[in-house]
Amino acid sequence: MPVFWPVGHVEHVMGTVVSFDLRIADESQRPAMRAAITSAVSWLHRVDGVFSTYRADSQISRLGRGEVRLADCDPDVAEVLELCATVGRETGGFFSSTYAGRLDPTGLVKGWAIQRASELLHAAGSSNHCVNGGGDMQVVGEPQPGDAWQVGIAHPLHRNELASVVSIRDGAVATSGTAERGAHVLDPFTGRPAETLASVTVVGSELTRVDAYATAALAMGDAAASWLESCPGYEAFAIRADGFGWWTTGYPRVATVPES
Amino acid sequence: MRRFVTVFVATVAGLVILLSFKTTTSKSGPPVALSGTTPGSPDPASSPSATAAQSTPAGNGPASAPPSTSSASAAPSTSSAKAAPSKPASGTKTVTGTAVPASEGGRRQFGIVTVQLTVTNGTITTATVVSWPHNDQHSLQISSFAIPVLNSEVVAAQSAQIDAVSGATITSDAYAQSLQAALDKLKA
Repeated sequence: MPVFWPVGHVEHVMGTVVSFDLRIADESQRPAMRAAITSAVSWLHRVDGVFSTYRADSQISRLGRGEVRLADCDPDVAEVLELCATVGRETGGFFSSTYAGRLDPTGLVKGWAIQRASELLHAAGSSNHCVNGGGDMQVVGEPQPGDAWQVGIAHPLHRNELASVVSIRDGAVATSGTAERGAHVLDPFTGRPAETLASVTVVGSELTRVDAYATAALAMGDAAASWLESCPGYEAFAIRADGFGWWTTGYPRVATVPES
Repeated sequence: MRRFVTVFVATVAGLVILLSFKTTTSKSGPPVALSGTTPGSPDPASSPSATAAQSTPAGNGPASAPPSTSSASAAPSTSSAKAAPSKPASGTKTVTGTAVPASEGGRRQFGIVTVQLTVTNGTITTATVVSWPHNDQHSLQISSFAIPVLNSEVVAAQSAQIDAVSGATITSDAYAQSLQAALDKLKA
């Protein structure tokens, strides 16, 4: 019975921690996979340099101040801003690429960058991996032959305990919550922190939208249940600040659901 | 043993959307198209929105109280929706319209929401969702129990059963203390 071996790497980038977990069937693949990780990591740092709102000299900061035109920026900037506009429409405006009146596509960049990093790894020959950026991940293939990736969903009200486990082969999982940085997601329409849900997890195929949808769902609160139910290809699991929860009707097909 | 509480949230959800549009129309928000005006006050008994506004929790225990709604601003509107029709002021009229979120080819959208507005002396006093998008179930099932943690044996960091953890562990400090960090150490 063949066994996959892990090739791991942890990188601090984009204001978070990105965990690479590649699986190889043959040790001879290890050098190539190490090189692939190195390339993906350097690409993530390049993205950080272009999109960081914490760096005054990043292209996104200069664009926000009107010092450069979009046409003068890296083509990725136009792609990301276009995606922000599209996702904004898809979420009825609950996903927004402005924060405090300033241009801030941060809510989309991380998921987009991790999805792209996964695609880079795949193009370099990695057909089994998980790239997890601060709890939001794109997974490809299997962790072991015949197995699906088992993704634990952190319980937002119980530190380092899980509330559910998602089984996924190719796809994305993202969790947006208030636990980490307080109520950092604002309802774009009221300007007030979104506090109904302690966390909401979205499962889908591509992390760019999965991550942005999780952010939007947190801002929507319970209304996100109806919205995500109407989104084909997406499932969701939410734990409210009061400890009660809900999930989409298809979620039990991809994950364990809590038992009382 | 599990029980669910069925809470009708279409009203609240729709209000969130509707109020959202009101907030953004001053700039470049999605259009709100109003069609089919209905002068006069509706009969509260036959109004589907009046029914939807009533939360109908089932069961008892901790779940017997209706869960808090997602929008504080929706609550007063919902309660006044029940009161408004019973006292038709001279300057009151009800308008049934359709809010159409802009999509422009976007793959996902809220869909079409039919909203009933009560306008008193030129001011919208209540807004109630009459119908919700096609494939929606008009209801949200909230667990009747607090979501428990999984058996610790299953989630121990050493367990081969968990490959990664999804959660809001964004900062380096939070990561260092997280299950994901423990998992990463095993694969370094």
